[in-house]
Amino acid sequence: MIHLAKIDKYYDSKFQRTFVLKGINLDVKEGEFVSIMGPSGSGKSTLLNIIGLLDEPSAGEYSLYDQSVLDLKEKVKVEYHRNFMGFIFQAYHLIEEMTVYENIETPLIYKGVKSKDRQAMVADLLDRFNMVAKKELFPQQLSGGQQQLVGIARAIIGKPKLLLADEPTGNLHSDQGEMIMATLRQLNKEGMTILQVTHNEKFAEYGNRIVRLEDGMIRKV
Amino acid sequence: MILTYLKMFYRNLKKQKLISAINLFGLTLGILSSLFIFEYVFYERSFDGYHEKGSRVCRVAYDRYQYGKLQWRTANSFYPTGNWLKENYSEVEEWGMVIRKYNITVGSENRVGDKVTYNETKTYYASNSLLTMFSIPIMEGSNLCLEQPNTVAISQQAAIRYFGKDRPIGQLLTVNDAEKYTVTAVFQDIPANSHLKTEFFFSLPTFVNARQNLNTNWRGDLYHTYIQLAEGVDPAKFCNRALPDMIAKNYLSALNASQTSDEYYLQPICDIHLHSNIEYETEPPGNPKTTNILFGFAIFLMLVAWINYVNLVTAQSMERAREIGIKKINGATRTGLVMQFLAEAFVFNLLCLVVTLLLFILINPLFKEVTNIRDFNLFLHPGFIRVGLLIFLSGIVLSSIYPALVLSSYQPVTVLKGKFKNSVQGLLFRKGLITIQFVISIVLLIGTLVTFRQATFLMEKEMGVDYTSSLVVRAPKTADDAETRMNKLMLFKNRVLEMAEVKAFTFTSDIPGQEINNFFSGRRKGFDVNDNKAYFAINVDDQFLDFFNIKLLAGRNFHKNETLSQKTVLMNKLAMERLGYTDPNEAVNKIFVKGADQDWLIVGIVDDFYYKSIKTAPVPTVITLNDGPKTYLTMKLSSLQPGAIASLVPKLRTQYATIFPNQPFEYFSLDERMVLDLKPDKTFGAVFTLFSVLAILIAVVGIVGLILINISQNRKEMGIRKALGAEVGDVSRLLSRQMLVQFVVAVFVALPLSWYGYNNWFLQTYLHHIELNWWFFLLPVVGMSVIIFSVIYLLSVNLFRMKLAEVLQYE
Repeated sequence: MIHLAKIDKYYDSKFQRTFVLKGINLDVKEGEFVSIMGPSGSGKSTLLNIIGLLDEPSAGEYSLYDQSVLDLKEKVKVEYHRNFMGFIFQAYHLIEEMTVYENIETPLIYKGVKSKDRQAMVADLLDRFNMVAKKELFPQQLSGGQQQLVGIARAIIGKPKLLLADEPTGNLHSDQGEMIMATLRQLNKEGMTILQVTHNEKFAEYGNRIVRLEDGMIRKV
Repeated sequence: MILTYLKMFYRNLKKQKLISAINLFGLTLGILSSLFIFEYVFYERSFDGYHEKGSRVCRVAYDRYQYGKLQWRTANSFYPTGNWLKENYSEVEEWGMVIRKYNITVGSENRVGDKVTYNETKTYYASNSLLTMFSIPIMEGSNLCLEQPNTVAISQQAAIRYFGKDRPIGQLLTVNDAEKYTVTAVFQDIPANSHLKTEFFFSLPTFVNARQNLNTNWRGDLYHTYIQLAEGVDPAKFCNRALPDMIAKNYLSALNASQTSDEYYLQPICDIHLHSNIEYETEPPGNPKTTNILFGFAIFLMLVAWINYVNLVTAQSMERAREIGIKKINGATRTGLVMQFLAEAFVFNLLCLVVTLLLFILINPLFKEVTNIRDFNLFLHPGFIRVGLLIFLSGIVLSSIYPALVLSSYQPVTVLKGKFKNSVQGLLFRKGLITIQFVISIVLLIGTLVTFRQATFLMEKEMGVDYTSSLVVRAPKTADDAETRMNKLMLFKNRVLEMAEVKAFTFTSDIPGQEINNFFSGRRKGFDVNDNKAYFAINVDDQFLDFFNIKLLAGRNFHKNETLSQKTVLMNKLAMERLGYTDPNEAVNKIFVKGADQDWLIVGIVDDFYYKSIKTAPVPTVITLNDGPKTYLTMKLSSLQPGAIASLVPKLRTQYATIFPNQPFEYFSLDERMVLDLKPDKTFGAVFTLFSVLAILIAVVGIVGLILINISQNRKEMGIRKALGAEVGDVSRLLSRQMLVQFVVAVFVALPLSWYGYNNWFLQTYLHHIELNWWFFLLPVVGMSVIIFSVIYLLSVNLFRMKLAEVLQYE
């Protein structure tokens, strides 16, 4: 599904080139749950951003289902974001001015799903995550775990094939972290490909493969 | 989708209450003031716009030159003009004419025999064709109402005034107690925004029948001629072809004989109010410069308001950047985001517009009262609908597009990483906008000082005529023979002089504060009749010079018992110079030949005086004695106390009623007249001040908003600085520094701009004007900086009240 070959990401300053990622080769098959680990500054998030089409590599090849996704037009990227991938962030990144319901609904609006269908889909997810009672609340009225659940709900409502999670439990205490990881594992069992970046060894074990990054390079697969 | 946008918009408003309020306040104030200015400007531009054939109806005016030098420019023309043009040129569909019949007394008798009389200032003889050319609707009576002699068409208002509920058609009106007219029609009141406002049209045949050879008279230009051109005829081209032809075929030889020439021009009636300021205008002309300046003002105000809007919205973009990033990751396209922000801006502008309109409706009656706007609805004026809406719409679109583009351009990955910063270009753009606001504010502040000083200067300038403490009573128009009338007037004069409140009295044909109505031609003795030049003439009594304190330069004043038959005249310096003398003493005791061959002895030369207004240059004036009809009875009050007029008027009224029964008693104070004359200048100064204050207020409010946003975005930094020991002064210096560069740049742009603009553009329109002074420039700059930097200081003080623990803990 995902094929990365010789991916470099670097920044040039006056006298030197600083590599964030160097020579990354990575293949992810459909249905995998991959955990990317590594110390701060090892390039985990950059890698995830490149995979999520939020950032572009400086060199190398990147293809999804054997199709190169480098130098895509903005419109095509939007299509990928709408229909193919979902994102979860450490800081949740919910829109504060929107209620739980509206936050989850947002991707569907951009996908052009009809209002009635949207209602049904959001209701399903709220039900699944036991959040029906909280649908009219605003993000700041929820606990961190609950906010992240909303974040997951928002990420998966469009039924993406690939879920990218950037330290989804980083801001949560362990109980809430466990709950989030359990949810992700469940989603993976249902067939969703998941890539997560994490610091936490225990949570990394939820995945079926761990990729370790160090100084921008993959140490051990 | 739209509903979601609206909801988000509402929640954003609520979240940023203060900034939203500042934005709403600024934009509303800007649009509201612009609306009022538009109302005034478009009212001035609406004159005669209601005529159905407006663009095709033109007034015939001409300039007279002698020896190649301009002698006069007049709105009058010769009697045969209209008819000749129509008979010889098929382009002329119709012609019409009015002749002034000013300052008359009109009377009527109602069914029970009570007499109703009023003085009417502006009435006209008119041809019947004029009513149709001017699209004046006849409400009652015949469409051919002015075809017969001694008939009159009156306005609805006049009909009520003279006949109450009685049917006016067929009723009799008397003029000056002598002429009788039958009312043949009632016409709809002429709107206030018309260059020919009257309530009476007397039939032209009445005038014509009393005179001979009018159809061949190419000398007396007492007539306002209007022609209606056929569809598609260009007035200027037609004029160049037809009018020289008219001169050539009718009176070229007479012109050549006196070395004179005439240049005609056609004035489309809708252009008369703003673009014609020549002799014998029927209404005081408007000032196109003032309206243009005000129009520019309106644009400035909106510009300042929209600049605020753009600044505040883009400055707030930090707060919204995250929202945009998330939306993009969730599949929002840039176009979609642009649309969202455009929609938000549109709704916000719409909200301001609604608030503005409510306020406008509330305040408008007062504004109309103050500015004397009548019969005008801004929202029905095609000019406003075109220009005004265009300005509003483009303002809304332009002020929305920039923030929308800026906001939608954020890259999600940068924004969500929290590394987001305002771009350098964005910052520069905002700084540029603030500089523009500063420039506008400083230019306007300087303008406030200039206009005010100019108005005061005019008020203080000596006119050469002392009109203070003078009360004028209009002389009656009676059917009495000259001797009886004279006796009655003398009786009135003596009675008035017996009153303790009055210390002097004079009879005159004209009074200061209005155009001199009479003029004649004359020359120096020994010169040919072809050397005759025009002189204005005032008829006075022996008290005139002393009464108005006009300075005698050489010779003597009129003696007490001197009469007209002794043929002596006084003249002012300008008239003396026109005769060809340079030294007043040389001119005294010389002969002035009036008209063809009347010799008059010049007994005295007086200094030039401003008669009509301090804004109108003195004119060459010959002063003669008059024992014929008097027009004005002017008295000087012995006391300057404010109550003096109030106690005098009842006594005057009683005397007047006893000596001239059934004549309307009408009086006014010359001081008030003169104040009235300068009122437009004072009003302009006041309006200028008001709108400058508004512009500055809007700009300051905007700056406050920007600083507030800046503070909220750097709250943590400020907190750390405080924790490290910074004081209010340090922080306010830090914030001030951000504004200082823009302010200095603005000063360097605004000062030369104002100097050039006010000197060459505004002050040059005045005959006498002030010189620009350095403090006109220094004061606004100091004032503005004090305002801006004290606002910054106050905000810093407020910022320093923060609780450090909260600020530094907040993540």
